Amino acid sequence: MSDFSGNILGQPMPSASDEGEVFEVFQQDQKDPFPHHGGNVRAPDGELAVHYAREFYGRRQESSRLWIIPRSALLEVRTQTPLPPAREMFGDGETQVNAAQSFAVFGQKQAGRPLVWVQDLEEMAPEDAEKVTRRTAQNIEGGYVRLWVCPRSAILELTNQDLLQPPLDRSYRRLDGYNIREKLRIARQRVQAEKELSS
Amino acid sequence: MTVFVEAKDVPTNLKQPLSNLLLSLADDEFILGYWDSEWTGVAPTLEEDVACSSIAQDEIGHARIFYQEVTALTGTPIDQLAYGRELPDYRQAQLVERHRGDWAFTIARQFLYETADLLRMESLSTSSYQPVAQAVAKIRREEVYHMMHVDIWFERLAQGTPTARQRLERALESLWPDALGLFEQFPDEDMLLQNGILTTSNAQLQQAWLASIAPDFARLHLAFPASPSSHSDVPGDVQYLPLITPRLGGRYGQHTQDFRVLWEQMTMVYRLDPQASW
Amino acid sequence: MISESEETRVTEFRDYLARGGKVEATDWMPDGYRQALIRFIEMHANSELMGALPERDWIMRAPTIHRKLALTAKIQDEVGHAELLYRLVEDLGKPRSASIEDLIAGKGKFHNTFHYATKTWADVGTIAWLVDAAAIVSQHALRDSSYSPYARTMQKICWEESFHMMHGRDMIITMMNGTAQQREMAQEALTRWWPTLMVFHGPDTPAEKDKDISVWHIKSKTNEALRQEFLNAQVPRLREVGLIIPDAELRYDEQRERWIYSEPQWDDLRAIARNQGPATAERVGFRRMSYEDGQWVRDTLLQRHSTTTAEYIA
Repeated sequence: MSDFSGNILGQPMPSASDEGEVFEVFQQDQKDPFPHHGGNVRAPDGELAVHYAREFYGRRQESSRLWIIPRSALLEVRTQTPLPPAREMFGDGETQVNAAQSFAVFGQKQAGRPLVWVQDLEEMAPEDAEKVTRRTAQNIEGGYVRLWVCPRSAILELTNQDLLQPPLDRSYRRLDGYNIREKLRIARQRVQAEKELSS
Repeated sequence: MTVFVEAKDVPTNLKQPLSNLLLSLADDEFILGYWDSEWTGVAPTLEEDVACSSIAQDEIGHARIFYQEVTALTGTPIDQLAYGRELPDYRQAQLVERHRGDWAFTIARQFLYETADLLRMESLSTSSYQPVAQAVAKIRREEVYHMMHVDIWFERLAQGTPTARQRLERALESLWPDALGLFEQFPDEDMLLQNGILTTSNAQLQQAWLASIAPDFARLHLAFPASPSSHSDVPGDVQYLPLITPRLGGRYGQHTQDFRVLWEQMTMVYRLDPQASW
Repeated sequence: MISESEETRVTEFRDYLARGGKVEATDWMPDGYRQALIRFIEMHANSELMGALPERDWIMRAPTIHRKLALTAKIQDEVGHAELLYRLVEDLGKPRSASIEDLIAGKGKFHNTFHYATKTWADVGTIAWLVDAAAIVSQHALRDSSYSPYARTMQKICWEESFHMMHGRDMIITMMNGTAQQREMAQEALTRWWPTLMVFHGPDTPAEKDKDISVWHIKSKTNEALRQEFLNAQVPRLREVGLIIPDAELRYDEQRERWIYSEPQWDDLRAIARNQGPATAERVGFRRMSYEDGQWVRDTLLQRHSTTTAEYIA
C-alpha cells in the first residue's frame, strides 16, 4: 500500500483479501462523458485483473472503456464525511512515489453515489497532488464527500472492442430479448375457454 | 472461382458435403461449449467461473450460427439438429467430446483447440460460400478473448507449481492423439476444396498449426510429439511429422464413451417429447 | 466493557443511521454494525453461490440452444453476484477463504430455498420465475441500505437479474401452452415449491424486533411487507396462465389490504437454519469437494514468481 506523502489524513484503503489484490474498476459507455466507479474485482495480478474487469463490468456490453486500478495505487482524501475515517484499523504504507508524474482524481459528490472522474493533474510531485486534490474538494461548489487520487501510470485501460462489444447475438441475457405478449394471450385464452367449459 | 452468395446458390451435389462441413464446425463448438459450461458454479475461483462461463456461452453461440447455416441449406430447425440426431450423426472431432477433466485438462484442450481453430477460421474467412465467410468474420473477433484467456492460463500452469506443471503435462499427453484428429480429412474434402468452400486442406492446416505452436512448447519445455524435418527440394520448408498415432473417426460419426454419456444427459429433456416447444 | 466515549460514539452512529446516514467501507463503524453486515451479506453471498448448485445440472440437460444459453447466463450471474458480495465482506474484514471454509464446514448459513432438490425441467423455470421474483423484492428494498457499498451492489444486481425472472416466466408459460404432459410438469413443480416460497422472506418479525432494520438500517422493509409484495405481483400472474396455487386459504382481503394464506411450515425453516434441510448435507458436501479440487489452481495463481524452467528439464 502506497502512502504518498506520509500525511495521515490520506487513507490507504482496506481489504482483508488473503488471495490476490483488489482492483477498483471505473467504467464508461458511449453515452457517459467520463468514467464512473463500477465496483472492484479481485485478481492475482494486473493481467488477470483486466480479464476479470471485462467479465464483471463489461460482459453485458455495458462499457466501451474500462479503467482498472490496483487499490494499492489509490489514495482516499476526505473532507466532508460526517463519519471519521477508520484510521485506527489500517497501518501506514511504505512511502513510494517521489518523482513528478501525472495523477487522476476521482470524486464522490453525494453520499452513497459512485465516484466519477474529476480531473487529471499533470506532472507534479505526489505531495502537491494531494494538496491540489484537497483544494479541489473544498473549492468546488458543494464540495466532494471524498476523492481518490492515483498516478495515471497505475491505470490499466481496456478499450479493445472485440472484448467489450463482441458482435454476436446476446439477446438471451437481456430483458428486451424476451417477448411473452403473444404467449400470454394464448395462455389467457386457454384459461378462459376452460372456465367456460366448466361453467 | 464461383462465389456462392446464399444457400440456394449451392448446387445439389455440394449440399451434403457442405452441410456435413457445417455440422462439423457446429458440433465442435457445441460439444466443447457443453463441457466448458459444466464449470459453471464449480470453477477453481469465482472470477474464473464467470470468465469460463462467458467463453462457454460464446462457443454455444458460435455453434448456433453454424447450425443456422445448416438450417438454411436443409430446412431442419436448429434445435432438432443440435438435439435430435443419433450418436453416429454427430461430426465433432473426438478432442472436444472428452469429459472436461480437471482445470489443467480443460486448459490444455482449450489451448490445442483454440490455436487450431484460429487457423481454421482464418482459412474459412475467404471461403467461396459467403454465409460461412461472414459468420467466420464475426466469430474471429470473439475468439480474440478466448485466445488471450487460454494463453494466460497455459503459461501459468506450465510455469506454475510442480503440481500445476505435472497436471498440465499429463493432460497434454492424454490429449495429443485427439488433437491430431482435429485435422482429420472431411468427407468429400476434395470437392469442397475444388469449389473454394474450403481454401486449405486439413493436411496443410495441420502443418501450419504444428508450426505455429511448436515455439510455445519449446519455450515452455513441454513435450511436442511431432518432429520437424526439412524437405530437401524446398530449402527452409519444414514439415512436422507426428510421432504418435492420431485418434480419428469423429468426422465420420465415430465417437467415444464420453460422448455417449454426454448425449444421454444433453438430450434427456428433449427426448421427453421432441415435438414439444420448450 | 466499552468506555463511555465509545458508547457515545455508538449512540451517535445509530442516530446518524436513523437520520438516513450512509456509511462507506473506509468510515469508522461500531463493531456491532460491522458484524451485523458481515453476517447479513455473507449469508446473501453464500445463498447466491449455493443457489447455483441445484440449477447447474440442468444446463447440461437444457432442451434448446436458447434455453441453454439463458440458463448458463443466469447461473453465471449468480456466481458473479456471490463474488461481488464476498468482496464486500472482505472489505469489512473477513477474507473470502474464511467465508468459504465456514460454508463447506457446514457452519455458513445460506437461504432456505437452496436446501431443496430440483427434480424436473419445470423446476428450472419455477425457480427462475418465482425464487428470483422473491429475491428481487428483497433486493430492491436493499437498494437504500445504510451501507452504501452494499446498496450500490444491489443496484447492479437488480439490473443484472431483470432477465432472470422473465426467462423463467417465458419457460413456464411455454410449457403451459404446450402438451398436457408439460402442463402437468409445470403444475407439479409449482405445487412442490410453493411452501418454500411462502417462507422465503422469513417469519413475520416486527420491525422493532429486527435489529437489521431498527438499529442498523441495513434493510428497511419487514419480512412480511416483502412477502406481501411478492404475492401481490406473482399470484395474479400464476393464475392467469392456469396454474393452481396449492393453498386453499390464499386470497386477497380487500378490507385489510393484504393477502391471507395458510400458516407456513416454520419447523422446516428452523431445521434449515441449523443447516439440516433435505439436500443440505449433499449440497455442502459437493461444494466442499469442488472447492478442494480447485485448491492446486489457487495455489499456482498465488505463486508470485514463475519458477525457472531449469527445474523442469528432466
